[in-house]
Formats: sequence, C-alpha cells, structure tokens
Amino acid sequence: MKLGKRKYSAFDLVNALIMLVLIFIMLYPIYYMAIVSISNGSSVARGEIHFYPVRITWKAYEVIFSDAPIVSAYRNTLIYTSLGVAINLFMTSLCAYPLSRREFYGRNLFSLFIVFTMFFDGGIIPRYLVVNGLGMLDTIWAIVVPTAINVFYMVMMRTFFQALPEALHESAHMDGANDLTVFWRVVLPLSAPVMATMTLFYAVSHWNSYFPALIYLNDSHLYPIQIILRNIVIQGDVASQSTEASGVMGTLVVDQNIKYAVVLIAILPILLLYPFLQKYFVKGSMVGSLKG
Amino acid sequence: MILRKLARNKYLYMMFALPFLYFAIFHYVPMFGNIIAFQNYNVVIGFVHSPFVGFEHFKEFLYDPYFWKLVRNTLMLNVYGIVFAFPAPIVLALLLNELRSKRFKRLVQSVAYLPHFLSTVVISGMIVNYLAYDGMLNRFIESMGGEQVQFLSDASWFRTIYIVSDIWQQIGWGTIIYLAALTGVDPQLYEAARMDGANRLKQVLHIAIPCILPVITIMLLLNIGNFMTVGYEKILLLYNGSTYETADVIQTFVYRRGLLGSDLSFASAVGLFQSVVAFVLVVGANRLTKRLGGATLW
Amino acid sequence: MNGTKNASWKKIAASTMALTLSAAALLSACSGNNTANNTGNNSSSSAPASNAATSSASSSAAAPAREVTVMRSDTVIQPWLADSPALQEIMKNTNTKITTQAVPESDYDAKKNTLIATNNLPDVLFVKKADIITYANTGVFLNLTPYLDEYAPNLKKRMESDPEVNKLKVDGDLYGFPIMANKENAANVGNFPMIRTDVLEELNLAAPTTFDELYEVLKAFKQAYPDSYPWSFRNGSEYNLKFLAYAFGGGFPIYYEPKEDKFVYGVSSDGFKEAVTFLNKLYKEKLLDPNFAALTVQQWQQNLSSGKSLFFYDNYTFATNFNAALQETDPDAKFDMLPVLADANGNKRNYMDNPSSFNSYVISSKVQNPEEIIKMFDWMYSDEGLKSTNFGVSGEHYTEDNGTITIAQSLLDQFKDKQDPYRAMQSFLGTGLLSFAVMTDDTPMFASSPEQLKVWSDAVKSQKEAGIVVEKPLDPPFTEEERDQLKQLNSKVGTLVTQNVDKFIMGNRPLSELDQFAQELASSGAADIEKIYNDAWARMK
Repeated sequence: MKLGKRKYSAFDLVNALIMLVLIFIMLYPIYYMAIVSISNGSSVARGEIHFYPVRITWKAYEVIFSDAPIVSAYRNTLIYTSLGVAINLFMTSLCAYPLSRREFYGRNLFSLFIVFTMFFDGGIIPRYLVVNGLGMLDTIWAIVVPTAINVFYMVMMRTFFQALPEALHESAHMDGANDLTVFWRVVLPLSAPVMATMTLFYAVSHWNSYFPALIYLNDSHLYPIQIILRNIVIQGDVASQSTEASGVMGTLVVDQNIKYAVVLIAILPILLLYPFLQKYFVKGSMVGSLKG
Repeated sequence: MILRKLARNKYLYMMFALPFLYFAIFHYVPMFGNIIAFQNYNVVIGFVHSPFVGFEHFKEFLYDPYFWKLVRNTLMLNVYGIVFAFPAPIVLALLLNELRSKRFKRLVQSVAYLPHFLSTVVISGMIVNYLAYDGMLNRFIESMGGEQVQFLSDASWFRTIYIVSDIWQQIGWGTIIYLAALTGVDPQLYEAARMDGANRLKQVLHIAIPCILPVITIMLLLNIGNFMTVGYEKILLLYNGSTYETADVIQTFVYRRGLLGSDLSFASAVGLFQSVVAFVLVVGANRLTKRLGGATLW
Repeated sequence: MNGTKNASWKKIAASTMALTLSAAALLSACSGNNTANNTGNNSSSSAPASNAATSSASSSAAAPAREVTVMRSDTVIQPWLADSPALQEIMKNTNTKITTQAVPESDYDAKKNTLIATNNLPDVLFVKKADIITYANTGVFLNLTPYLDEYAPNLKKRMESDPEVNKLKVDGDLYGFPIMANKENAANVGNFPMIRTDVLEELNLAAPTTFDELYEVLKAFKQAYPDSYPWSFRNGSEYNLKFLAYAFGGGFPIYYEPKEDKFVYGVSSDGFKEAVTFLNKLYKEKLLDPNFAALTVQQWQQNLSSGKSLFFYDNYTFATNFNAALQETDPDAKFDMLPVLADANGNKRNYMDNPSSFNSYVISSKVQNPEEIIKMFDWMYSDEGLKSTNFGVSGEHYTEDNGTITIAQSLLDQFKDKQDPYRAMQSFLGTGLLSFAVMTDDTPMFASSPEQLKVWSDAVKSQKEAGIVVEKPLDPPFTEEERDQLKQLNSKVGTLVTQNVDKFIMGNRPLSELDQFAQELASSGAADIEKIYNDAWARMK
C-alpha cells in the first residue's frame, strides 16, 4: 500500500493515545487472571492480588493437567471445532451464494424463509426430538450438524458476495461456465477475507459452545472443554445455589486460582487463531484494488 | 416462463437444496413445538394430545401490570444498546483504519478482542469486584476527592453498567466485520480524494462510511431483531432487589418462574410473544431500508 | 405481521409445508416410538408379580449382571467416577452393573429438564424434591408403591424411622428413592453465629449471648478496626433473613411457626420487623458490609479469610477454610461458634435443614423388570449397603469394632495432602452424598476434617436436644392446582419482596412503612399463599 509520506498530525497522536488506553483496559483483566492463577491460594483468598503475583506457584496448572477429563475434553473440542467449521463453511457458502445472485428466482422468498428462523424457533425440546429422531444422540453429528448454518453469518457472507462486481459473473458465463464453476473458480478465490472472517466466527462459536454437547451427549468422554470449564467456574457461585449445598460442608467452592487457570487454558488456543487469520484480511485489500 | 427461469438456475437450486433441507429439518420442524404455548403441555401425552387452553398463558402475562414494566426495562436496555453499544465498534474500526502503523493496528486489534472470550460468569465476577463499595473504582473516586457510590445497589446505575461492560466486552470483536469491509475499500478512492484536497475527516465521511454502509445497515437490522431479548445471564448475576426497578427484564422474570417448577407452556408463550414483536419490528425496518434504497435482509 | 400478510406469506407456507411434512413424519415416528414404549412398561408396572420369576432367576450368581444407567449431577470437588470401590460392592452384592452418567452440576437442571420433557430418561435419574412433585403426575417416573412390600423391606424400615419422608409422596404414592441421613452420624450442618474469638479476647469482650450484645460487640470491633466491616454475608438479604427472622422469633418468607402449629407468611411477624430493623441499624453504622446486596460468595470468603470481616451467621463448616487461611499469617486467629443468640424477649431459637437431603433417585417408567433395580436400591438402604456406599470395602477402607467405624489410616494418609482431603477420598471410593448413596453417613467427614468440626456439630446437637435448634419441616404436599397457583403467586409476591427488603435495610424506604409493606404483600397474594400452605398442612394431619 502506497500511503506516501504524510506528516503525523495531532489526530494521529490522539488516536494512538486512545488506542494505548484501550489496550490497557482490555488487557488488564486478562493479566489479572494470569497473575491470580499463579499466585498462592491463601493470598488470593485474602484478596491480596492487584498488580503482580504473590508467592508464585504453578500448582493450579499441575492440578489441571493431571486431570484426565480436561485433556480429553480439549481434544474433543479441537475435533468438534475443526469438523464443525468445515461443515459451516461448506453449508453457509452453498446457502449464501445462490441468495446473492440477482437472477436466482425466488431469492427474496428464500431469504425470508431463512431469516424467519432467527426469530421463531421451537425451543430445546422439539429440537431434541428431531436430533433424537435422526439417531444423532451421543454422536459428534449432534454437535456439528444442527448448527450448520448461522443465519447472521450467512447474511454477512451473502452481502459480501453481492458486493463482488457483476462483470465477473457475466464474463465467466460468456466463457460457458455454469454457476457451480463460477462459484468454485471465480468467486471462492476472491473470498479469502470473508472466509477468514467466517472461519474465525464459526470457530469461536464452536469453541465456546457447551449447550448442544450438554443436551445431546450422555457419554462424558465426549464432553468438550467448555462444559468442564463452566462446571469449575460456576460452581459455588450465585447462579447455582444448588442442589445439596445447604446441607453440605461449605467447601464446595473451587479455588479462584484454579478457576482462572482453567479460563486461560480454555481460551488460549482460540486466541492464537486470530493473528493467523489476520493476514487474509490484509489480502482482502488486494481484492479491493483489483476491482477498480 | 417460470420453468425456463428454473432451468437456467438449476445449478443454483442444486446448491441451495442442502441448506434448504437443513432449515426445514432443524428449524421449521421444531417450530411446531410452539404449539405448547397454547396448551397445558404434558410430557407423556406429548404435543399432539396435550389439552389446548387457547391464549390463557398469553393473557396471564399480558394482563399483568408488572409485565409492562419488564417490557419497558427490556426495551430501554436495547435502546441504550443501539444508541451506545452499536456504534462503538464502527467508531473503533474507523479509528483503527486510520492508524498509520500496521503493526500497531494489529496489536490493538488482537488485544481488543480478548474480552470477547471471557464467559459471562467471569465478566460478572469482575464487574462486581471492581464496582464494589470498597472496590477499585470507588477507591479511585475517593482518592480524587469524590464520594463512594453504591454502583451495584443503585437502580439508576444499572443500565450504564450493563451497557458499558457490554461495550467493553464486544467492541473489539465487533470491529472484525467492519474492518473486513473496510479492507474492501479501493485505495485509489482515497488517493483521488487526497488529490482533491479532502482532509482525513472528509475521507472517512465520504469514502469509508459509504463503503461500509451496507454492512452497517445489515448489522442494524439484525440487531433490531433482538430488540425484545437481552443477554439475561449477566443480569441474573448482577441484579439484586434494589436494582429490580431497572434491571428486571422479561427473561429474568421467566427464569425466576421457571425455578419454581418448570413451566414449559408459559415460557413458550412469552417466547412466542417476543418473537412476534421482534419479527414485526424487523419487517418494518427492512421495508424502510428497502424504500431508502439501502441493503436489506431479504 | 398484518402488514405483510400477502401472497408471499401463503407461498412460504405452501413451499415449506411440502418439505417439512416429510420431516414431520419423522418426528411423529419418534414420538410414536415413545408411546409404544409406554404401553410396554405400563403392562409391566401394573403386574409386577408376573416378573417376579425372572428377577429371582437373575439374582443367582450365574446370571449375567443387570446393567443400569444412572445419571446424576457431578461436582468438581468430588467427581463421580466409574468403577469405584463402592460401585464394585454394589455389583458384588446385587449383581447390578452401574453405568455412570455424570452431568456437571452447573448445568444439570437443563439436562434433566430436557430429558424429562422429552421422556428420554436413563434407567435411573437423580432429581430434587420439587421435581418429584412437579412431574409425578406425568407418569415419566415409575410409581414405586406397588413394589415396596415385596422388594423394599429395608427402605420401609428407614422410612418408618423418619416420617418426614412421607411428604415426598404424591397422592400417597412414592416415586423416588429418597436420600436420607443416618442421623446418629450426621454432621449437623446449619447456619449458626460464628465469631472471631481471638478478637473478642484481644479487646477483652465477653462473648455475646443476645442480639443486642452482638450489636455492642460489632460496634467495639468497628472501633478497634475502623477499616473492617464486622459482619459480612453472602447470597443477599433474603437468604439471610430466612434464618435471622426466625432467630428473632418470627420468620421469612412463608415458614412453619411451631408456636401456632401453622404456616405464616412471616413479613407481618414482629421477628421479621425486628430483624430488618437490626440489619438497618448495622448498615447505617457500617457494621454490616455495605456491599451486602451484591456480594459474591468469592468476596464474602475473601472478607472473612482476610480479617476484613469478623463475624458471620452462616454454614459453620466454612469456618475451617477461613481459619486455615487466617492462621497462615496470624496463628492465633480463629472463628468459633457462639451459642444461639437470644432475641429481645430472651427467647432463643434457630432452624436448620433436615440432615436428610430428601432428593431422590427415580426410575424411568420405561424400564423393563424394574424389580431388579428396586432390589438394588433396597440393599443400599440396608446396614451393609450403607457401609459399602459410605465407607468403601470392609477391612480395606474401614474397620468395624462394636458398631464403631474406623476409617483406615492408610486411606486417610493417601489423601491428606490433597486440597480437600475429605472430598478426594470420597471421590476415589465413590461414596457419600455426592456420589451414589441413599443413606448417608458423615463418619468419613469427621475422620478427615479438622477436629473443630466435630465439636461444632456436637454443639448443634446438644442445642437441638434442648429444643433451641429446630429442624425445618418440609413443605406439605400440594395438589396440582395448588402448585400452579403457588407458582404464579410466588413469582408475583417474591418480586415485590425482593424489590423492597434491601430498600428497608439500606434506609431507602422508612422502617415505619414495614406494616404497610406487610399489607401490600398480603393483598397481592401472600395471604393466598398462607392459605394454600395451611390447607395442605391440614390435609396432612
């Protein structure tokens, strides 16, 4: 990109300052969790941790990684996320591309048909019956198939396809290509930015999802990391003044350093995905310049 | 005539068949479950044979004066959301786009989207810690000579807390979509504008914003679709008796009722009511943008 | 929607109908399945005797083990493991192989409700008291009553010794295996006043015996430590008022009043008003944590573990954690239990929950040959079963001498370095309340916890014998109609209560309006709630 040699203005300075403040505000809580997770448990309990760790210990992490369910849950999440994203991208583009074509007869109607599902859904129980009826219970398919297309993301992808210049299609059709080949040979190669965005969005939603797994899976060996994370983070918290807590010893609360260690471990891999995908966003600008 | 159109589009239809089936099976079939809103649903008898009670469940909440307070609170949170939380990522995206150093831009982006990954429980825990009577913020206020504020048990603070924490959590993540759109802006347009002597503000106003306007419109429409719903898990973790005045929303009320014994029919009726209102709003908004020539959902 | 009611709507409807019909057929097919199953099990449950022959055959050692899937909630602190010693004991004694389905406790309700609502239960499911009442009439749970005489002599004996259990019956029928405590060895856990005795000594103060004295003590604490908030509580004011209002001679919200032998909506009681007035006084003078309305459990623990707060009135077992954290920096620091405090009239009373949790294990009504499962549960109620499901394997994990159980020292040593030795041990053995036991015994808890715990438990026990501490009775069983009414009334009245209680304590609504408040509640449904409770109570008697 040839930005030339412009002078740094007062605006640039202010802008940079705003960003620095932003970085601090966004980073501190994560930093705080990190230092709590490696601090001594009693010091945490007394609320002594503010800006730096106290009496550093890796015990929380040792406890977590010696726990077999967490390791296998990690693996499950990886599998669900990669298979899930593959299905998502495939199905979403199958859906978005036809809807982006102006000559697609019935396009408005189909769009409405789909957008309608954003507002009206039948709730958990009938969906469970459908998944059960298809024999998907206790299989990976129950996790990745019912969420194959997110309407929100589908609409975003459709908007992107619509923004591609019409001339691309016309010239390809002129060369005798059908819609499938146009999509595969012409449109997809130009779609790196939107595909990167969708990959990120879908991957994150799979990574963070726990509810389908909770409902559709009975075998705890199939549980993803988020179910375990929730159990650790929520237990003893306000939301679950739960079952037997009243008549039971008060020690049901999980130590905070373990809580935060699990939170960090659970988000780390997905955090690494972003810088990796970022370069495709930059490539997107190339597309923009090609267009003109 | 139609047949010819269909024939010409046959590959498009082939592509669309699978997604269509998906929506039919996983969304439209379960939708029949909404029938329990008009029944006293019994598990063993099932959807087909449970006794119909008509609009009884709807009447139960529509005639309750407290329900309208809940509607008001729900709407207010959403209005605040549209006014403050919705534009925030757009502004940030535009500011990021103006950053001169690409490396710095990437750094800010990567950091700003971190909070998105924290679960509601963790976020709420932090809010409660920082805003406590002797929490970090109050200590800061005190050191500046101010007076401590009961942030968490003062109803007038609740909406601010809810929206600000929402912005904090989602602003970075929200920029992704706008930045992706901004990368599509033709650099030559900027070049041309600069030749014409347009300053930075003008470039943003006349090039960047118009280019991402379709994305903004679509996002806004989708947001309006959520107008009757609120991320209630956070409210459950943050509200207490003294903030009910502003914090109690439709879903928290339904949740509390659910705790007293699962009441599927009632919850389903409330859900249906919310869906209908949201759908009407979106249909209206979609018409409006169509008339104005903007992007539409269908 | 009227605006868009045009041709396009009908088209959608037409095109979707065609396609969804096929899928709908699918759906009805699976619900058809359910009904087929139902009729199948109806016949089996209506004629238990016809299956007697098969079940007696299966109990012989040669027969293949009956496989039973059990789903229950699973805590992080004490994970429920497969093939634990306790489950192996069950297998050895009843020829039943348990397949564990452990669902995280944080989301157990969502899972359980879905399974019940879709009639897709595992063979055995863990449910709460309220679930039995809510779902019994739907027929998803097996009615156990016809089987009790023949297959469950041990359970019947246990039930006779704790008549409260009869309140779990719906229309006279028992639908679940209730989890009960072996009261001789039960920790008497409850909410009691706990104070930092080292601070009392340091300031030369006598231990308070009345709430008025408590106020003076807290005031002295605040004077000596101006940065402290002497009293801190968790879960908000309503949770605390439940037992505080009772201790002040009243109650909250709907509670059983032994003096009048009836249920009272306590907001109108003097005890409730006094309790609120008392808290208001503490709040004004900053003797009560000003964050009380929004305090998380985490913060509450922080306050008490760091010396920021010096008194709590809550589950006393927490104090062992606080003491451990405090003593790291100050070896003398110590929370100790106060005897129950007297109200303004000099009366002392305090309630505690029944040591029996009274949650239950239900059997799916679709199960074939339920007798085998019933016999298994019945064995778990026997003395032998109690020991296996609470202590593990005799000789290996515990020894018995003249009825006294001693947990093996080697076992205790194995877990003593764990963060929570008691829970780690229980998890390994698969024993106790949080694993799979229907008669619970707290002997292992005392064996692997600090000695104070036993002292406090005994203190509660002696106050219980003196009539000061009362076990809170369970709600009387309601009819379906009453339950529906209560659901509506409780959410309405409850919302009003929640909105106002904090206001009174914080002084945002004058205390002089407490009577008016009680009237507001009565007219918006509290009186109806009271009536429903007392009608149901009268039916019981």
